[in-house]
Amino acid sequence: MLDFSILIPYFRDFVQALGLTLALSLSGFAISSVLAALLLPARMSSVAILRRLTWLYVEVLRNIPVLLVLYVVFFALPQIGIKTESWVAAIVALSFNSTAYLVEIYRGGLNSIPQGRYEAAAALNLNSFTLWTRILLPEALRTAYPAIGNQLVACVLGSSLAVLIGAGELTGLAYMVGASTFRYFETFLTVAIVYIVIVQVINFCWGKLGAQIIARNTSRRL
Amino acid sequence: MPTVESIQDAGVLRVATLTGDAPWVSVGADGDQEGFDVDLAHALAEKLGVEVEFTTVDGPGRVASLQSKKVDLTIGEFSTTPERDEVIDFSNDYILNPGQYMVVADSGIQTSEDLNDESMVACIQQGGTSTDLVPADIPNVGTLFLPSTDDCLEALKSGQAHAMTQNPFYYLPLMDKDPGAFKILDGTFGTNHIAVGLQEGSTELAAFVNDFLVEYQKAGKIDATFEKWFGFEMPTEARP
Amino acid sequence: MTSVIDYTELFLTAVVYTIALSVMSIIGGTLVGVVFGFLSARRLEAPHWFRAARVFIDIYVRIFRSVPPLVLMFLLYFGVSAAMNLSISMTAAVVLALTLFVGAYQSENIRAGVESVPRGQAEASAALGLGIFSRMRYVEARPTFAVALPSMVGQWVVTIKDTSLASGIGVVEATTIALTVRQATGETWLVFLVLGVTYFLINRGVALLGSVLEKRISRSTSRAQSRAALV
Repeated sequence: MLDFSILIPYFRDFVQALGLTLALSLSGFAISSVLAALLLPARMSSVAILRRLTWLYVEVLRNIPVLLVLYVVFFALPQIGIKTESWVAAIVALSFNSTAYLVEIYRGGLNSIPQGRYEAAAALNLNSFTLWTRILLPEALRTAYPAIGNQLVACVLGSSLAVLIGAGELTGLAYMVGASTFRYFETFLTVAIVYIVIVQVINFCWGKLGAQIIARNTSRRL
Repeated sequence: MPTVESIQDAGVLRVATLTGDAPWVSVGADGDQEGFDVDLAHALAEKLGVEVEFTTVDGPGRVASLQSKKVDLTIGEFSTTPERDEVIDFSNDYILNPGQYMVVADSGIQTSEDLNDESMVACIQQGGTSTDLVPADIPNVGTLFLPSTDDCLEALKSGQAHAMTQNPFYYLPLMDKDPGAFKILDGTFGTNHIAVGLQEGSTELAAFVNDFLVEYQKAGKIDATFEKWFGFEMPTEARP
Repeated sequence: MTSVIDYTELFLTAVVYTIALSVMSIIGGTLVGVVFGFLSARRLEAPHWFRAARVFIDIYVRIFRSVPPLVLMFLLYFGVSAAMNLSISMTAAVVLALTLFVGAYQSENIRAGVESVPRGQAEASAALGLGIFSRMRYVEARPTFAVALPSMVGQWVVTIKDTSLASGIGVVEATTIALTVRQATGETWLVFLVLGVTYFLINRGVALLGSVLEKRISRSTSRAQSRAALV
């Protein structure tokens, strides 16, 4: 018989674990958004060595499991003196991974801008600062926006791997509660539902935010 | 419910065991399970006249695979606890296993009281009995829960944790292999009673397993395999 | 100490198992994606029951894109079997979890592909009296796959990477064996390097296969288009 009441004593733990899940995924996403923006000029650079190095980074990180990145950060890096706690290791691994995807997403956004924009800007005598901040970046952002949102969701899902290095986020807590109550079904089903809710909320907010950004950009240009 | 007869009809004994918990059980270079508990499972199967089919699980999987009837028995450094006893059955104990802390030799940690501090981290195998025993013994220690004992060893070596929370039987072969690297602290944090896990209600099979365990002990086989895997004579306090 | 070399055969066997898990999950995810993607696409002149199917598929997609595959594996392996008295083997739990998870993404990829087919073609096929399934087969399939294939291949790579999560429930695949070897030999860096290179090569291989498929499809699409233009 299903009995969800066994989870009640763990309510506070679940709230805490939810906080940690959000902290891990949001910081992983935030850090990788910035890192990817920093790597983007190198990825699109005319200097071959920069381009190749960033290409290599992106290819490697996109083709090996996040779990392996996590293990390297948590178990291998300490051997060369870089020691981190579980939650830090989780953020670092998530950021490294997510950066690789975001660089490509940003690049896709910029590449989608038609050549005509540049020519029109030249004809209007726009300086390059105005060109980038007013025209190119907003347009690239609009194209890339949904994919960036998907990457945020990927960070939330990816944070669940932290259970395997012992961070007590949602999946980790579920694992512990399951092991001490032997009620795996109730526990993991509950946690699955929590993840579904988180992701729906994120999708909703991301959509709203996007609509606002696009509205603002459009009105400013008019 | 598996019975002696149903197992003999099937020709296989389905046993859940751990992945990385040498010398109790681990995967050898040939890909087969090996270790103290693996020998015990093979001897039991021999008495039944069947083959063993191992399923490797993590700590919590030892209970879950019995609950879900995926296996007939669990043999893998499996401690009896009252909570587990509510959902599955146990044979008699075949070995007693004191919980002890192991630290890195030059860490400066001398007693378990040194560990009882927020700046210290004890690594605990998820779903193992140390989950409750360690916080009861040293409530202030920080805890790191990892899926397998081997993960904890790795965490200890890399400095992610200051202490392991296993038993001397796990530690001693390691200390043999790597003399001077580790140190076991004096005192224990409780004794684990290691037994064979069975599906709830397998009374008849439990009786068979208990008979087998008596023979295994009387014939001195348990001592021989203990020495083979752990590298020292089985201490008297380990006998149930 | 044992040397890493002693474990070569064991590791290769585990890699084969990783590949087997991947192939089964990729087939599962792609099938779910193709069926659900074609059924849920918004298009002109579709039968009414498609709307009901779309509601159901939308819910499926929303749910399974939101649950971490590791949680799905735990739920299926520990949970469902204990609660429902239904024995799901470890391998089945992994393949099913990945099929459901990746299937949701593939379904979206395919749907976007179908919806990119120009409206005129729908009108034309309706005028020709083609049934919906013939329309999928003869009109929509080729342009859909031409559009969706790159993102589908992306999901194949995700599937392969996610089989590593099977180590979390104790399946003896490449990652689990790598951890065993790490423990037995103490060669953390070397073992992780080998494991990383292994996944990298498998995934690059799949990406390569994907680009060959893409070329084929786009060639046959352009051939079909030029034939159509001639007619």
